[in-house]
Amino acid sequence: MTQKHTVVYDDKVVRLFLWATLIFGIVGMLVGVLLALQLAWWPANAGVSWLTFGRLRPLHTNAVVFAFSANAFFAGLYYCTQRLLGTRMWSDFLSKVHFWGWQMIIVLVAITLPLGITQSKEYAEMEWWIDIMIALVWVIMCINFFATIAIRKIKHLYVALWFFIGSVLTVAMLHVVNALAIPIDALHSYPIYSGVKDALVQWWYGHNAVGFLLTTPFLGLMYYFVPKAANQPVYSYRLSIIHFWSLVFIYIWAGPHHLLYTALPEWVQSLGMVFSLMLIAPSWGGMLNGLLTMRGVWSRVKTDPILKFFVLALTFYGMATLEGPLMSIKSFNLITHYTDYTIAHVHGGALGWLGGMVFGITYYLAPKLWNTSLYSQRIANAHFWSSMIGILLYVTSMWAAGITQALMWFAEGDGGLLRYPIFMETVTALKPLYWTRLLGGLIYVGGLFLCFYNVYMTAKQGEAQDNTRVEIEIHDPIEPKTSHEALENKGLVFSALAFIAVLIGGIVEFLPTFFIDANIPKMESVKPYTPLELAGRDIYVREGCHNCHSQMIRTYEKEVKRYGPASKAGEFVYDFPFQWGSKRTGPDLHRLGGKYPDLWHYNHMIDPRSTSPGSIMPSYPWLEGQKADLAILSRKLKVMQQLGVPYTDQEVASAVEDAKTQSKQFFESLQKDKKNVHEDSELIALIAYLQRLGKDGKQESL
Amino acid sequence: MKSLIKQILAQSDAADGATLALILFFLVMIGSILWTCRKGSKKIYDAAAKLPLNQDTESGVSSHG
Repeated sequence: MTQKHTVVYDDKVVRLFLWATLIFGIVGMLVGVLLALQLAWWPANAGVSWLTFGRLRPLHTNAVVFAFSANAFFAGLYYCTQRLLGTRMWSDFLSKVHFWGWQMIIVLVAITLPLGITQSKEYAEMEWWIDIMIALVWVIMCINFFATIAIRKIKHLYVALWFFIGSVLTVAMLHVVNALAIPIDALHSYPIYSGVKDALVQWWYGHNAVGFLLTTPFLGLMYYFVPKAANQPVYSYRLSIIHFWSLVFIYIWAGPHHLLYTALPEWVQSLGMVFSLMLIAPSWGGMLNGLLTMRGVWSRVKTDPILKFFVLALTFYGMATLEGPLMSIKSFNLITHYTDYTIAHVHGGALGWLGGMVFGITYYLAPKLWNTSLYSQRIANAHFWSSMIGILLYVTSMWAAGITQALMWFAEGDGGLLRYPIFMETVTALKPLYWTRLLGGLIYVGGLFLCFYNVYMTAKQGEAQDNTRVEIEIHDPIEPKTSHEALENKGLVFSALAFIAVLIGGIVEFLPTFFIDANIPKMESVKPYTPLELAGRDIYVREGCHNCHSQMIRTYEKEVKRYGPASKAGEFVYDFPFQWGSKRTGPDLHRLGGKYPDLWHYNHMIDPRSTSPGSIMPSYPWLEGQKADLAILSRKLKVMQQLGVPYTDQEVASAVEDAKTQSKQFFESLQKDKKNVHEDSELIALIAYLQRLGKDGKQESL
Repeated sequence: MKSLIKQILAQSDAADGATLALILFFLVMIGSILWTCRKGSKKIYDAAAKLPLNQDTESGVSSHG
């Protein structure tokens, strides 16, 4: 039986999300360009605290992930969902709350991160109160999305919708578990996990945020927009089903590949590596499915910018999903981890796969949303070529930088000594490549401006379509013959099963690590931080030092030669949050404590080039003038106590006094060297922390 | 409850669990491949694959088959 329905789609919300994508894309990538400039030419931070690399790098990553990519996903989600379900969104009001709520969060993140209000966990730096807002807005979006599925006119859930369901549920789970924290005050908090556990949860989150916010949602969009652009069905619907189930089952396990050769239990590392390798199969299946959907229309790729961008996206998806698993092989990971190689990898994914999808979808949607044709195909094609050239310059320079860096770190000379024992040599060698990367980034962002102009002019020549009215014919769906066919039509049961699939991986990896003490052997020599060191640690976190310095000496002979005994799991039990980092633009700091006198640290923070000629680190003169917030230390210790750190009630009560007593020692030590720093200065607290790093467990780790 | 979980996990070998998980997930992958290739599925999948194309908004009128 066939029924006719008139549906009026809400396309205003699609248009709003599209504008937000382009505007925040430009902002986020311009911040990236500034950061690239700072690495090539350090004075580019203009001596302003909130423009330093450590503060701005999280802004760049979060802007690209949550503002550019997420807004693009939402635009596509609202457009496809309504059309694939044959109905308008369940609630226009909730769509609006979702849009404005999400943009408000982005603005808050853009303000707080440069101010140093951060939890320091990568791509999850937002503080507890913003985390709550994110959860609320996400739930509002989910209610609207699932209610729309419930009232749908078309029974069969097309595969794109599966990817959306899997994505929104998984991201909700990742966000909530990783963001659990105890507030210290209105703005700050400590995470409930420490050290190894914090690292495991963070990289379970970090890896899967990339998976379920930047990969699966866009695969869903790919399964809708590529067939639309090619005007023929997806090459193999079967393959898309295998793609979906194998991705949601396997992806969630791969997080530990971010922590190879670290203090994480060996079996978890191996598990992460093996599952990462397994990911090649579904990923390439998906890539081929997308590319083969364009069979027979390749001649159009030459002229059609939409298809061009989709080919670019799928090619980079294939490349990044082969490169990622290879990087998770332990021996290759030694070279790629902590170096610019990882930066090349993520930008191949972000600029190639994501950018390609977003721009392809943008050029598809713009004429439809304004009921006109695209303003200029030539400008869109120019955008494509600038993207292509920009990416190639960016990625190849960072590949070269990463390999150079790793080879120099591990090179040995006569007698087995390190050939480049001074870390700075490995930094200055990369400068030309940093300039090349900047050029690539500039060309890519230039293309984004062209895109913005093209969409703006398209909007100007057309008429905005708020409500798109269509008449659809709905046939009875083919009767499901088997349980899975019936399942494909049942939104809620399907969602629950997909959720269970992603849950299993997390549970198997977390539970043993959290509950088996043998996985994190206790070290008697490791004691909690003193109140002053804790204050210093929080300054270290605020300044985002981990964006350039790791605190994790890997279990590799040449790392040990350079930095000292390999880090042990038991050394980090009081680290809330962990500060292992993921990139070494500067050297590892885990065994820094006691390596240099206090005066060295003073000079280094005021002017890094006075102690380390050629350094690209920002100067931090303001730390000397700013007073450390010691008054809050009792509260901080109290929260630490709740988290299981063995501070006595007496220590909690006398935290402020103890901090002052200890800072006096540093004050006197610096005074002897004719440096008059105020006793309450942030610089003293930071030096106290740096001088403590890696000292406790050093003997036991030998 | 926490101590019970702790006790159970402490007595088990985590590495065995990992191997088991690997085998299980490998089987799920093989299973899903075999499943999608089952007899008679072609008709359903062909109809499903056409879903996006049938929601054509450009003409103002769309159909679904």
